[in-house]
Amino acid sequence: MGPLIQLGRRLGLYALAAWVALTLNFLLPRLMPGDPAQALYARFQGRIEPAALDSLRVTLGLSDAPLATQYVLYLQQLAHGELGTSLVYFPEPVSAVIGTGLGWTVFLAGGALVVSFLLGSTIGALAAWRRGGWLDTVAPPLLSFLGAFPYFWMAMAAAWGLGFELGWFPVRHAYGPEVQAGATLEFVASALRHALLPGATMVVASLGGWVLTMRNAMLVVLGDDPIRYAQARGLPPGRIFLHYAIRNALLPSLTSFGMAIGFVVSGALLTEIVFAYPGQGYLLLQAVRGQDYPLLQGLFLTITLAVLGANAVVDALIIALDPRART
Amino acid sequence: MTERDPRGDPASALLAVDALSVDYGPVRAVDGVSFTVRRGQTLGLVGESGSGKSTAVLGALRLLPAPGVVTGGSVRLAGAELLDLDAAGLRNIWGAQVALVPQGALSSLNPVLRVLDHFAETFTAHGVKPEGGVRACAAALLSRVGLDPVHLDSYPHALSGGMRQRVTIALGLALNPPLLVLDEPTTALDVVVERDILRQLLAAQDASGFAMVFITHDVALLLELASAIAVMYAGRLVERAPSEVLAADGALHPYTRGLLAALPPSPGEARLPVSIPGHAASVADPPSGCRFHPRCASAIDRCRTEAPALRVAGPDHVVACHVVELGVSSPKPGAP
Repeated sequence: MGPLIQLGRRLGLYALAAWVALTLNFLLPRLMPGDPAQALYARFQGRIEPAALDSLRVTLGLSDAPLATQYVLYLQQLAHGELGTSLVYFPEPVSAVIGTGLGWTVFLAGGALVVSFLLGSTIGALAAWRRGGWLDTVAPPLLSFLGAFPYFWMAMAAAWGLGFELGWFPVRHAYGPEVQAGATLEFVASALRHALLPGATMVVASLGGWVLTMRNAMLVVLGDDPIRYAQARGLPPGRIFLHYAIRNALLPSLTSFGMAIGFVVSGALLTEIVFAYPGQGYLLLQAVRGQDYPLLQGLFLTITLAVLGANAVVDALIIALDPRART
Repeated sequence: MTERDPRGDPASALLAVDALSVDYGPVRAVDGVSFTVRRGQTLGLVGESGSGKSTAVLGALRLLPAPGVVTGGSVRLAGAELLDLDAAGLRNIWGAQVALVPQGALSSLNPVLRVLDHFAETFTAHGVKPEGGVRACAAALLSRVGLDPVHLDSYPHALSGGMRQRVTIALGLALNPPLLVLDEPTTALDVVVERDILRQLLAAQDASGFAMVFITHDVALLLELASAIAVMYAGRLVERAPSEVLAADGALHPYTRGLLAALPPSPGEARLPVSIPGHAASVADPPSGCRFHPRCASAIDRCRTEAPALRVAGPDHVVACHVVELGVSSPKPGAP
């Protein structure tokens, strides 16, 4: 079986899983007792007219039509990217709200994850390669120590010490009030400056895990027969390091990386709260607080699809990197 | 203790290992082992599991993984002392002057590289640009060991055990080294594949004239294959003899005789296989004196206290045993 057929089969499975997720996302709110309109109506405790309930139901896309008809409508709207109207950010459409949050989250949490994965895997690989050397002695315990702090505590300490007291970094928001959002150099610079501190706290908190994962995988691979056989054929250390040790040790790390990418989209809740960063986690918190059903549904859908999508990408990557996965 | 080979002539030998000792921490796994391999010759190294045969050879070639450490002796390959070489010097030797066919051949190839890549990197490492290109040269090497060159584009997991073994042998021959070391190359294979691979190997040896060190626990195989056989027991060399001598019932050491008596009889031979009583001695806690004495029917008091030195028993034939009566004609420079 060729790699493309193999890949196609996996993608088919992912498409199936995505369809199941979409359908569940459709069914769950409709199977629950009550509906968002009633919840909203109850919240205003009689301050809105009963007649307004009907228009609210229409606005929220609720109807008494047969489930099948609703389902078809739901799929049609989804195909056009329509996820309904947010209650908390009324009258913004959910897709627009999520679009903004997703952008900032992917920028901040995604960037931090990539930096952490690359840096951590490199440190772990070098530590294992020079086992017992200074890097191997210092890095794993130090990074595990830093990673052991409660994250919110470390984030607040960083925001207070480096941001507030020393004033080196901005401590809140995604970009400064002095710049206009847009494709300008000032905006990009401001966004980067604002992401630096929250991003750095995320990297520090997660680096130890990547270092240990890679170091342990490397140690196993370094003790394996292919490494010794490569030495016995007189291969230079650089080639053994890259093509024998790293290539084989990276495969398990890559699977963890794929899962982590998927969960980036659910937002770095604590980071976004501490640094008042307008990402997905912040939206999720607002949606739960405000009983914003359409926004919650939209967020769950985005998270599910992102996890599936990231896993599909990593599957394709592993098929490309590991010939054993192709058969 | 060390035993010096009384007839060793390192100058004329391709590989001369002299009084080699290898330690694993406090355990002396190889104790003063000496042997030589002449150009084009095949030396068989035989012994039970744990006797130190692989450790001795890998240690001599500086290929032993930690915590194994060579603690004494001398290893000269074509006159150059291997124990003095630095990492870069060893990399030049490995693969080009001496090639290893590894014990774990089934798991030794890199799972993420194609067979062709293994050849290419071996050539590149030694700065060799084969005539006609890497692919043509690798294809010719595979054909020599009976493997279809279409497998150049295969990954190791797609090949059977016998095929992977053929790949490692072909890789060993790639740089045309004067010495090929095979560490139990056919132990994991069925008899039919083993026979075929050995046939191809001997044909390649006839064509190229390389010498071989063949490590195995199969004495019967060595009687056919090797020109000389060295027998190890619990980290020490007990006997070394031309294989014709051993085949013609000329073995002297009780352990060697025990190994040969344990072979299944050839058709028409009127005897039953007899196994050696007891278990192999451990190098971690070796018996005093001659390490074989607890299992030896001929042991005398002296065997329990004093380790026997190697004595010359005939041309190219040495034995380490107190009990064996050596012919009057043989000189006994090593005897007390």
